[in-house]
Amino acid sequence: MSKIFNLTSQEAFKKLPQKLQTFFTRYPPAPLREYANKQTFTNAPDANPFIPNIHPVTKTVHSSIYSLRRQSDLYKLAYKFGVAELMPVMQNGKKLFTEKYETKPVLKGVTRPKGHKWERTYEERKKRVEEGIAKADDVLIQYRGSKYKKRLERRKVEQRTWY
Amino acid sequence: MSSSLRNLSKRYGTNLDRFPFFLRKMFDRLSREAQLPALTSDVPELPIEKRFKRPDQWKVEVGDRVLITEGKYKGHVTKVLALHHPTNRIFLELAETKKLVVPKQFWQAGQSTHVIDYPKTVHPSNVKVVGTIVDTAADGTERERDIAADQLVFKGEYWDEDYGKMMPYRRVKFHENVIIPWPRPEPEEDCAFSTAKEAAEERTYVPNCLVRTDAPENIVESLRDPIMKRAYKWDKKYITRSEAKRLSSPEMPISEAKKAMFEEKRKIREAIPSEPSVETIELVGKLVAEKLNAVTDRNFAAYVNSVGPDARQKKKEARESARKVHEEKIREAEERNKIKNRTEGKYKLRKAKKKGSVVF
Repeated sequence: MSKIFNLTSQEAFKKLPQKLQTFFTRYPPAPLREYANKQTFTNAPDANPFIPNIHPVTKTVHSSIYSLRRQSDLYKLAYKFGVAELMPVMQNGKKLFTEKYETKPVLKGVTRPKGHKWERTYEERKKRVEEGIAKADDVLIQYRGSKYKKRLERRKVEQRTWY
Repeated sequence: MSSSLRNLSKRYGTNLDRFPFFLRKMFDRLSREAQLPALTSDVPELPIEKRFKRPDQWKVEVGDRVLITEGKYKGHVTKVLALHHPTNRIFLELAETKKLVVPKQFWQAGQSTHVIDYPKTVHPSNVKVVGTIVDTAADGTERERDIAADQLVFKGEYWDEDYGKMMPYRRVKFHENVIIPWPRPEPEEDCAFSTAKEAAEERTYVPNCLVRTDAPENIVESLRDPIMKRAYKWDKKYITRSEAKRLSSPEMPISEAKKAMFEEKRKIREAIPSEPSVETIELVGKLVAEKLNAVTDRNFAAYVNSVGPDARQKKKEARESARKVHEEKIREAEERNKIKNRTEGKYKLRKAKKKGSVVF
């Protein structure tokens, strides 16, 4: 397949949607400026625009500069353009896509499955037993030698039928 | 109910209005039982707030001619003798009477027996005010005619010298141009102790200054009881909230705290960069270029182009041009319709003329 774009980094930045461009303009990504993972003062140098921060004088909690919906919108756009890792930590530790899938909590059914052990392993055991019975002759031949093999063959020939 | 003396001062004596209704009723009954039958009225007295105070409540005044509409003397025209304020009723010249036994100390001049006929009171709703209107016949002769007003309305008022107060105009309802004037009250005779009107109205004091009082200092203190325990109610040691508000200059609508907030917000706004720095473009653009240069999906490429910042402007221009085309189409269609209507009209006119009918 042929490649469609051939862009320099400057051109690629201009290709970003206006929302994302504005966001990265206002809040340069991590190596240029650090963002706190938790609540800080609103005037702190590492104040996270995705987290509701506390005003240093009034001690009131100001709602985050980007609402939960706008955060998610921005993150999803950034994900599409491959810059999701440059985004600050979202409110309430919100995660999306692969990250969300990987960090999702283990379900109760996995840690404490329903039924007794004999119930859960019943099918498997039955299958194993059937297979074992089917292979029983081969195993006996292996251990008891050719004499037993001949006996089996003779028994097959001498088997009585109704006709 | 409560006597006039008790009404004069609410401070001393028992104020019956303070009691609940059922207790007031009981006191009323007790006082009635203690009174002589001659001094009680057959109708119970009304509480003060229910008594008539204004002439438009009474509808009649002393000296009015009225038509009786209820009772034994129904249809008779008579005169109002007096208003009985405690019961909101009136005394008439011609009225039903009741036999009353009067103690000797209340006997009138010329009375020779204990039993007298005492007139009963009538409610003003059981009478109609009678007025006189003058009819002028065709030959110029004038004839007076009495009318009785079914209903009255009170609109407008004037200063009545005889009553010494503002009186409402008494009009016949639905014929409001007909005014039944109030009767002239009996002139009050001056006795030996009366003050002459001129003397009462004479102005004996003119203040020198509107700001400062002419009264000597400490006159108020000298008038008060020096050993009174309770502080005089006007000697307040505090000012009320409304007074404090009036004495202090008003607060500006934007407080200092708010100004500080605006200043802080302005600083934050200024600190936020408006143009992306070279480092930012380099850092972000590198990752984006890596991602986009590896793209082989046509659909994703179309998506990238559609969400770019210039895509919106292009969309807007496309919409504008489409609108122009649409408007042009409408204009052309209107032109076509005009031509069509004109030709059709001509054709119809010709057809009608041929048939010889009249066309308007």
